[in-house]
Amino acid sequence: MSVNSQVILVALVISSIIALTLATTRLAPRTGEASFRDIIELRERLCSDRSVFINFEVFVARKDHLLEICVESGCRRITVTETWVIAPVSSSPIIKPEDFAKRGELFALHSNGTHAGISTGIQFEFTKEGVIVTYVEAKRIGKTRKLVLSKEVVDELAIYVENASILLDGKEIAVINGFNKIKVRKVVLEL
Amino acid sequence: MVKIKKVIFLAIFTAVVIFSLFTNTTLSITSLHVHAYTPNYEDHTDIAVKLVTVDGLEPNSTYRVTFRYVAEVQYSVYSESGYVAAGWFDTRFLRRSGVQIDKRETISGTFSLTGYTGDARVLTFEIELWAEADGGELYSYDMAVIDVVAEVEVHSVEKIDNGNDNSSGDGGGGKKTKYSGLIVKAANRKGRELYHVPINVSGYREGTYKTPFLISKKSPTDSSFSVTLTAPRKFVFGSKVRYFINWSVTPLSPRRIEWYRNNTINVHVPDNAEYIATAHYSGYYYWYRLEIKSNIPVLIKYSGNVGSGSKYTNFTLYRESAVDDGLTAVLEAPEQVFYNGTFWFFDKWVYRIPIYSKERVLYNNIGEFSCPSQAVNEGIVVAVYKRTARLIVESSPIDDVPIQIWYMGKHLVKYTNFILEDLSIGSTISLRAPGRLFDGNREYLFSHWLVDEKRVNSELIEVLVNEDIKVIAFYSSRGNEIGEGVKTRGEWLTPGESVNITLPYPGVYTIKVIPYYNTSRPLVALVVAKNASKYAYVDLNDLTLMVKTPFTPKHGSVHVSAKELRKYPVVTSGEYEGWYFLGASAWVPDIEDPSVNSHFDDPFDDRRSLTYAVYNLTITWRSSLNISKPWERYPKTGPRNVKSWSKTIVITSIDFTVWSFYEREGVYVVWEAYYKYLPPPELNLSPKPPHQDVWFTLEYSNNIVVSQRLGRGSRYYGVNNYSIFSDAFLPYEYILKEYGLKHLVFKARVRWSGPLGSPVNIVPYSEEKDIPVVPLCMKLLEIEEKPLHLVFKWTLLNRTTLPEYSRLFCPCVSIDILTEWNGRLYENVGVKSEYDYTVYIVDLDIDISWPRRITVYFKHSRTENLILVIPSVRI
Repeated sequence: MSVNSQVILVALVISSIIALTLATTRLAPRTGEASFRDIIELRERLCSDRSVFINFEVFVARKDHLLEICVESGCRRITVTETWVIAPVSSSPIIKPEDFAKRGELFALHSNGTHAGISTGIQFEFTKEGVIVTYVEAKRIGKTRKLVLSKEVVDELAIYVENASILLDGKEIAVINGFNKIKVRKVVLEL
Repeated sequence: MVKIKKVIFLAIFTAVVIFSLFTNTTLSITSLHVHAYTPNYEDHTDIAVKLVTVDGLEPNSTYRVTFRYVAEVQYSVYSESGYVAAGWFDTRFLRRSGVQIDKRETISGTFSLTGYTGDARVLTFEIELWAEADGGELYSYDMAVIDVVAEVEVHSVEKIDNGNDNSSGDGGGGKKTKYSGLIVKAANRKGRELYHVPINVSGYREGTYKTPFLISKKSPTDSSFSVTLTAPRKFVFGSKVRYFINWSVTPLSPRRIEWYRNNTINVHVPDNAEYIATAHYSGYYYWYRLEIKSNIPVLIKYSGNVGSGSKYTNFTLYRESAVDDGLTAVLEAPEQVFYNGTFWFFDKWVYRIPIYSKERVLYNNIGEFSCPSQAVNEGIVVAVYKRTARLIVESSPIDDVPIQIWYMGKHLVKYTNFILEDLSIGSTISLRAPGRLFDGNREYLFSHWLVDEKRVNSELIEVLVNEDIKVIAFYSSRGNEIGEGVKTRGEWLTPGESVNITLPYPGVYTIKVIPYYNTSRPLVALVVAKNASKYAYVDLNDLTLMVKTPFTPKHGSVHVSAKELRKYPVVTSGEYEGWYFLGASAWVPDIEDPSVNSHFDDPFDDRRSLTYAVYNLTITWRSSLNISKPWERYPKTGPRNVKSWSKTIVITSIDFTVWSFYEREGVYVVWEAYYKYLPPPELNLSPKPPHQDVWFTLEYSNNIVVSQRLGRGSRYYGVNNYSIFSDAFLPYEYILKEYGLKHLVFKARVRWSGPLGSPVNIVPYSEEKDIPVVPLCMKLLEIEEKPLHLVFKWTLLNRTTLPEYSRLFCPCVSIDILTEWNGRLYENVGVKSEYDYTVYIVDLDIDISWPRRITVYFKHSRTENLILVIPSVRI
């Protein structure tokens, strides 16, 4: 193989790596306005724990809720966050957001015809080692084109309970029957 | 209907006129409007001031005027950490934080002001309305807005008395005590007040005071004063640090602010005036400090989120960060250092967090250390270098000889055989052996010391320790000519272990081995052919050896060259005549003879824990006329033709008990080791603690989880009567990471120490134990956040059953609580319930309302042959 061929081969490999990297981090070439399909894809990326560079601007907002883990006597009160990622779209079906307490999934889709977005919820995982309650907190709010999901344990609480109930904004959303470990895990969404 | 309306109107009008005449006050409504808006991360305050005059008052009188107000407030906050607020003067009637969009509120209330009329009949008050908006975000775009329209009217006027002057309004004159005051405060850049900032004051009321504080002066003539205020450029409070920005100085009224960049300012408070000086500080940063030390100066390489580089110890790595992401550094120390004329070798890292009592020891040269959060923001890492050696002191042919020792200014007595550990290289130790001693009815006279294979005739010797060294004190029995024998106390060995045979003089030795009980397993000698091509284990009994150079057995793995081999004793008769004698062992080592572990023809009685493998070993020496001259100068008392020594050899094995001593974040596994089989009582041999170079291990799935060498450790190690203790720390974090919260059974074993100093083969016949590893948790039954009240119940996880032998142990824990926001540790705060011995109650006068978090640690009481895993709880 001649030197020229080797140089071409190396160049091809490097350009392929760059192209692959871009392909995995960008949803599409930059257009400036989101489509409803973009929002669906964004949700899929977030669901699969991926950091996303988006080619449109989204607005991130958040709202606090009170999560209570109640044992035989007394409750541990934890402030958890509901995060909204919203972008204007040219058209979209109307998907009404579920109430935060009933959302049941970490990233839920919603749209009203002119805007579409993702609203975070509280996720319950019942594993052998206990119950894991996960919520998403945006590190800051405002406009962004980048969303980085950090699923490392940034803040984890661990309590051992028996027959506890979990309340959200004063309403019971889960009951832990029998002996179990409850972990409250925060996933951070960085902009 | 119209008439009714007229009547109501006239009634109200008349009432107002009468009330006005009665109170002699002017009733009017004053409107104020403020609007604060923050388009970015700067906060914003708007202040509106209006004058309100109350007339118809008596001169030289003090009045308290109560104002009534109605405020229409509109506001929006777009960030969770933002807020808006509004109020009168230094008071606040509204504060709303968190996300609030397009909110409206109507707030009404009253406030009072006091004024002195002096010569006048009126009082004029400056009414100040303020509003503040703070977006809340430190480094990003945020938004908050507040708009307040307030109407104020005089609600009531009350005359207090005629003498006092508490004037806030401007009235007439009159003699009074003048008052000047300076309130010194500190605030962050959002205007929130900071406490405990030490401000140095000079010029007046000198000293250092913590904010907020007041400097005042009263005088009938002139109350003015001047002070110099110095604020610290850097203010550290707990785990946070702030930096000085500027001073602001403002009179209480009217508000005009002067700014100063210098941290030292001169403030002049005029006569009869009140000022506020505020030191403004930046937002806080978390700080972390890792001190790196060592016992000798070494160059340490570091890398991490503090950058990378290398520095000589002792030095400090320091980091500040706007987010609580800690300090992490990977440290690498040199393996060996030439210092003070000798080599020092890296031994270990010792990492300590000042707020914890426990140390973490890391033997790997490259280690990662961190101060992970604001709660644990200080750490000390020490690179420990060692320059130590061992001195092995033995005696022959008798044991238990009291040897006086002088070392490092201390004097002590130990009985042979013993080892002095951790001696400093280059140090000198003096040893004195007694000139004579008695064992039963037999008298022994000191003969000589053998120091590193060289003979010294003096009873007192000085040994220079430059490396591991062995010295032997030799004794001779008075009148022990031909046929005389010396009986010693037993030498306790495990199967395959080397028998301690010392051949101190040149000459011919005959070795006799007589078992006390019938056994098919003899003591053996390892012999090697002249050209070192073959070796064999031969019966030690009736072996005859020719010795040219004094022979002491070597311990551990030794490389012998062909040249050195010629110095070893030579077998003089039988099948192996001419072969070299390398040493003797208790039976053929198990790697050579698989039948050792077959338990066939065992001389051990497991039921009674007895060993019948007890031998009498007699060595008889005869001087040889063929020996070259240099050796003849050695004997102190003159050469003798024949000498004999005998000793009892006991072959046994090692047993142990595993104790668990619990800490906050792990457990100390402590092995108490003792001999497994004892000789029959009729032999009257008292037990000894084990001395073998062995390791104790806890193993799972054929992997060693944790191990320790006999007699080593960091906390619970040493000798106690017939037992030797060794310990090793097993962190819960490791168990949880590797195995989760599962019930496990570890296998506890005893293994030989290999040539590299690590555990190798299992010691034959040694005990093996199953050690259950049982997860345990403290179940939360009750919680109150303020003041803190917790109730926990001792609960076995997975409803695991404990082994029978541990059913009766105490389910006792001590509870420690770490308050993460200030790094404070409250130790042993749990109280056992009177009604249920598995329930613990914690009551502390602290508030753990969110976002405050605590970590609760549980330290269990000691357990035997059982390891409990009690993870901490983070609430």
